[in-house]
Amino acid sequence: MVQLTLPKNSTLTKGKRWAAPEGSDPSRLKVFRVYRYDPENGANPRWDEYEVDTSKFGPMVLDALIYIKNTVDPTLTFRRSCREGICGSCAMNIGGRNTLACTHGWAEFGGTGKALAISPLPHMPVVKDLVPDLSLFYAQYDSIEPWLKTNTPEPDKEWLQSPVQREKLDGLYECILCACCSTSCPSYWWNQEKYLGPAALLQSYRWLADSRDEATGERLDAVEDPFKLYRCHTIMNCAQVCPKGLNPAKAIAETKKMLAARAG
Amino acid sequence: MSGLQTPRKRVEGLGSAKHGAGLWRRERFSALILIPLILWGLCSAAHLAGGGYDAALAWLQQPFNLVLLAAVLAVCLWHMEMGMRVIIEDYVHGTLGGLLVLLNSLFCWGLGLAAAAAVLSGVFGVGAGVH
Repeated sequence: MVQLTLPKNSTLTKGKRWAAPEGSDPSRLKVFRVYRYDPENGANPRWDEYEVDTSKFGPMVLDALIYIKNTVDPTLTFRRSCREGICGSCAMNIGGRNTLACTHGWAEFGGTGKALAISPLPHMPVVKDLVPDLSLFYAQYDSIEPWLKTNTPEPDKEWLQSPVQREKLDGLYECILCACCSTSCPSYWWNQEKYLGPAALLQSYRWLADSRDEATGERLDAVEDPFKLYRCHTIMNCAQVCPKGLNPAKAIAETKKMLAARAG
Repeated sequence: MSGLQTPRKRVEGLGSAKHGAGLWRRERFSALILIPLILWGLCSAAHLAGGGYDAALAWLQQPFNLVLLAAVLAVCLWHMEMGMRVIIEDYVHGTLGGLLVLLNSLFCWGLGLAAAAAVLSGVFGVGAGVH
């Protein structure tokens, strides 16, 4: 049976509250409820509450987290790098929705006076605090062999592609592998050992749709499986949360159409 | 020990089954033909409501109705068998899941055969007078 409730050692407990310094302007205060887990101390994860003065940092959720780490609690752990939505490192669950902390303003989630809950991407093992273990997710990407495969001898210059053929890759190549989509998908929650998930399948279709790739049949063989591909039940959470506005569900549907066409 | 397996090995599992497109097409095909069949079924049920057993039997003895009713039962149970199987596979893993998939098939086949027997006995008068 799939595990529908959290195991005992993962249930959340009430954590510490970090009050704002005396004399702060109450109209500028906002509470960030952050999921904390430390694998070193054997304790259950907890919700820590940070009450901070929003005038001290920039407009994004990531600005708030960096401010908390720098000035309130240096033990808070999260991934971040580019702070402009291109690296995918700061993907987390913000206000109940998977997205990037760097491209969403904290004011989008109720502004000051309203608490904002931040937890790691759902249903993945947690390494520490907001850092999930994405090893399986990356291995799934690896498994779809995301590179150009050809049998024709390499041309002297580049492999040619018309502008129309190139356009077919729009909406596919932009994926930054942040894992927001896969970890928002209930099918992926229940069957992530067998279902490849929306991110890997979007990338699989990116190569299926590439006019230069000569391994289409082999690629279709690799995903034609009741679990690897067909566990997608068009729930559409993937398309709803993608911070790049991509539609993995559509890519999966196109793959299914290719397989149906192949079956004759 | 699965804890020592690489993530790539876990993703690989037993490899691709290299089927699934057929099932996907059967699910959609059965769903499509169920749209008119269910509409017809509902209209017929409304038409027959309150008419009593003999009126229903007379209705059923018309070949057109008999064929369509058989189609409703067959396609409905076929669709149900496929859909229930996917739901079981989603939520119940391991031996118990396999067992439930088997029970699901037995249940749908059993229901189909029982329905066929009921319709045929009505039409051809086997067991007539039981009503």
